Amino acid sequence: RSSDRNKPMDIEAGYSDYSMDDSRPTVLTGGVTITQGTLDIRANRADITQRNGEAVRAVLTGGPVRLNQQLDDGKPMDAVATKVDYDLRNEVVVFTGDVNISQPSGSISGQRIVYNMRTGQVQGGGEGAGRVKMRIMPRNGGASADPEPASDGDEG
Amino acid sequence: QDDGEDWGLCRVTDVVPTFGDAPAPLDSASTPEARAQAPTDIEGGSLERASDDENIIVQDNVRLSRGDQFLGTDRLLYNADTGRYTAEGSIRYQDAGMRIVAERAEGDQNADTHRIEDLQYQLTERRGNGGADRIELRGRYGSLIGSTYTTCDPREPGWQLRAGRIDIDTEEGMGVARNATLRIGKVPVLYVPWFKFPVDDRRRTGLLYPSISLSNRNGLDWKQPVYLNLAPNYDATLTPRLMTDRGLQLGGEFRWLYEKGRGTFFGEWMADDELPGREPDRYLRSMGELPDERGLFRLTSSHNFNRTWYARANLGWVSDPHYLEDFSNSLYAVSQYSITSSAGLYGRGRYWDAGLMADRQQLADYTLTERQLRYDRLPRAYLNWAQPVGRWFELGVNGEAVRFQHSVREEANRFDIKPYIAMPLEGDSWFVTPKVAWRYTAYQLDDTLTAALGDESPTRSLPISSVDAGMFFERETSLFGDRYLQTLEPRLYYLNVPYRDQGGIPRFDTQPMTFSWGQLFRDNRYTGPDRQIDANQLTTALTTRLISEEDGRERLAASIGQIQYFEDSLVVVPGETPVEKGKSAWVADLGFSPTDRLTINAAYQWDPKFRQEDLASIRARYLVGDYGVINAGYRYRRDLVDQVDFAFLYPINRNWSVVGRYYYSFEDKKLLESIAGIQWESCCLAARLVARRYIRDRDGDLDDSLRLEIELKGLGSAGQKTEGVLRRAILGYERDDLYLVPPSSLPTGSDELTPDPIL
Amino acid sequence: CGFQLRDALVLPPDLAPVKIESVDRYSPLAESLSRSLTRAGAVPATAADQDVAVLDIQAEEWGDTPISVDSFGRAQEFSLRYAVVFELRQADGTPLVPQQTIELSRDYISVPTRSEGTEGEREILVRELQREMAASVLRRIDTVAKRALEERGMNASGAGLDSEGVAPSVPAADTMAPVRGDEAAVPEEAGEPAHAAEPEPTPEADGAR
Repeated sequence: RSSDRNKPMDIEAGYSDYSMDDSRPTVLTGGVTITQGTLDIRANRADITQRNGEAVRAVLTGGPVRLNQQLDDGKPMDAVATKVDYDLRNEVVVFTGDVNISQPSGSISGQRIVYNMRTGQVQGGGEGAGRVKMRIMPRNGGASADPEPASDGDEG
Repeated sequence: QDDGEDWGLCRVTDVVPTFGDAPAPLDSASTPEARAQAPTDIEGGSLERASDDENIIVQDNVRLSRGDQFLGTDRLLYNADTGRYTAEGSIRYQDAGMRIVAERAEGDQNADTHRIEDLQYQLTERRGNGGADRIELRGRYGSLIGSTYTTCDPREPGWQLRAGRIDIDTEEGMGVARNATLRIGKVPVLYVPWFKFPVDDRRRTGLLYPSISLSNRNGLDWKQPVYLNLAPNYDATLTPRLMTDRGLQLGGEFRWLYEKGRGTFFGEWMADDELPGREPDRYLRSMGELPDERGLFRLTSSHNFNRTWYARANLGWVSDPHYLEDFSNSLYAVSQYSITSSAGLYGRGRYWDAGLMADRQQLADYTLTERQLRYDRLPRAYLNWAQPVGRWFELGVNGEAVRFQHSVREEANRFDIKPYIAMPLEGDSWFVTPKVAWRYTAYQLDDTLTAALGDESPTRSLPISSVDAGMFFERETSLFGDRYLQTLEPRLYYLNVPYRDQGGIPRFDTQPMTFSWGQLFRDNRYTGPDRQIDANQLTTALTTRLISEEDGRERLAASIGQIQYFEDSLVVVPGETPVEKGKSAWVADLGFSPTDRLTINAAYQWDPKFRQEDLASIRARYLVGDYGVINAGYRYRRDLVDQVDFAFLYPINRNWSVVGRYYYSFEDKKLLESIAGIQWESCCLAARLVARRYIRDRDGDLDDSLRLEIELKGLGSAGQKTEGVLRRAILGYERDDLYLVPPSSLPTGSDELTPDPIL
Repeated sequence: CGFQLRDALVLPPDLAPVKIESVDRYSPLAESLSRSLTRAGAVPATAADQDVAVLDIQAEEWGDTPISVDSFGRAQEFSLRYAVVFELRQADGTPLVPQQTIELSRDYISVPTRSEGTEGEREILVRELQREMAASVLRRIDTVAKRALEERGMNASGAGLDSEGVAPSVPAADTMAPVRGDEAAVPEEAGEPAHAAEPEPTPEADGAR
């Protein structure tokens, strides 16, 4: 949710190597968990860079990284990828490596997907990034039973 | 697809080839409900979406699939919320029923409306392909604008149906075409402003394809059958028919099927036929009046009570004796001179068979008189029973009780019973069967017969004793490299029956049987019990066979036999001379089939007393390729037949075949039927041109007819169906007629109607 | 000239209990074939038998068509044709007697002006054709069976152990007791004596008359 932005973010890790200034990113390893409101990220390692005391970018790698969050319309979004590059300031996430983002209305998978959390803009595939797949669940059937018409795209 | 058409000549390549990358469409997923349930998978080189409610843009070899549907395109725009989509560039669409290639497609998933432009389509469930400027689909409705339909290969000349607009309702299964033109090759042949046609093979009421022909007897002859799908187990076909030179006729066929049996009723009726008016004297001479109301009906039905008892009915009726001649167009139909209606209850057990039936004759030929008609048997009961008894004997009885009626001739009841005892002794290579029977026949004659013959209930009873003996010899031989078992089967049959004066017995169904191989071993020379020959005769006969050891097929069977009469046989029917002491005619038969394709049958009878041939007939049949056949035959029967018959359907190559018949009677120095025809057949188009000369009427004058028939495979044929006519004229025109290959309609396990040979 | 007396009507070696299937349950052909096969020593299959050899009468067709017309076009000579398509399959479906067609026909006269007795003659011909068809089917089974037995016999004398490594039991004369007409063969449970209702199938030419 966009309201997550102003929620406290707490980070938990097996081992952390803090850096007080901006020259070197903080490296957390040994199982990292980051939570902020409905956002919940699990990874093996996280490199967090800060700008004057504020975390601006987090590069997480894992086998695989798991990220899930509840969107403004209340529906959950779960994402899996081998590497997640999260630009915290303008909330653009670049998932790479066996990416799969699934929502009740459908799922997107591929090797490289860029997802703008704020506007919902998605960009997948492109040169050298392999093919991208998208599954749209049928409107009445499928997992989500919410009344809102989920995006049910099919071809006549 | 089995839609009854022969697509054997069609090349496999499709107008719209299969898409390599598309999953095979599974039929089960092809219903609208199944499609709505299935998830949609989109796959592409790249995917973008400006924001949550913006269009998703997928590019670079996009592949979309849902249930049985598959869509390939270069670029796909899709809005998840509104459900609207647009696909551009090399569109390939496939589902369980068809394949389409097009330039552009768009639609709205939520409203289930789609629009495809500038497309080529190929049906997959049925044979058919074509193009269209635009297709608009709205749920169950579809409209093709500016479309074409054909079943032909584009590379071969064929036909094409072009329609301004075709509206299809998939649920109703019907399509309506508006201002449609039919082209054969480049030539527009037919323009139809509006016509409705089925798009799937559900049974439904509707028009069947008309048959149109032209003849000097009927003028323009337009038959328009209408199929009525009344219920799952019964349906009907009504056939209004307009003959410009004769008037309107209504035909109809009603078929029913139920668990225990089935039946068919066929009828034709014509209020007033103008033909008799044109040649009045033909009818006045034979009928004394002009028939105007003319009709025919035929009913065949069967009912199986249980494993033992079943009922059959075959009834027929024509309105006047000229009917068959005036309404038929084949020598086969014209050759019938009486119509036999029979119905009865029949039973069959392990050692017996019996029946309670009745049959009735109706005159259908104006050159014969009622008096020449056969007797009606109303009713007739018969029983045949034969049971082994003890270790040595076999007891049996053949009994029949009949009430003979006739419109003109005298009537009577007859009871005939023949109990017998036989002792069938047999070993591996011999058999001897002495048999003694006692035949008792009694009559109840009506007054005129009693007055004529003096005794109201004549009877006759006499013993019949016979001995049938035979031996079997075998040896192995090899012929043309194959191993055969050759048999030698000598057989003797001695018959002894005392003389009984049968002058006082009238004749109802008794006449000398055709002298043949079977006659050598029968205990009576007549077809019915009204005459029982006195006999003291011995038949000597010999049969040899060549049976292939490898598959048991009998390649050759030849037999020869003769009867030695030790005394004159005095019993005769009026006009017959007694059989004198001495030798009968030689009877020789040959059945020879060196290969599965060639069979030759010959029969020959030489009478040593008068030193003349009684019968000389030879028939050869050669099967050419998959569906060709050549029949050649010569028949000579003293004082009856001297004819040659040569008929063939010869496939020249894949597309061309010629058909012909030459049936000439030397005795009457007259051509009885000649056919010359040529057939061109391609993948989707068949054209037949057949010229025929055949005996059209009893004055023996011949009728010439030229028949052109064009068949658009998948769309029906215009013109009189010539197959039926040819099928009668050339035995084997349809391979099923020859039963050489298991008939295509091989009833698998269903208890077929007992094929009553009397039919 | 090499002819010797025919030996017994023989059945294919190790023939499973025989079931006769016929497309037309009212046809006497199946009945007379089952009697003859039983007489030749075949065991009629009962409902309990699992693997069953099948004599499958796949098609039975009658045809009664005019073969010559007089100068007025009226039919005067007819040919009564009777054709049967049959196959004998072992329990596992391998064909013992391959699917084949037997076609018999008899010609008879029925002149329009005196056609009484046509039904009578046709009925007599139907009976004769039915009896001859049964004999013809039996002959083919017998010939193929003799060949199979011979091959079995040759293997034994020739190769000793046959492929299955089992010494083929050369059918000693008595085990395949040729069935005498009168001698009751193995009494079937059906209890009626093994006795044909008709005399030994009459040998008649198998071809058009």
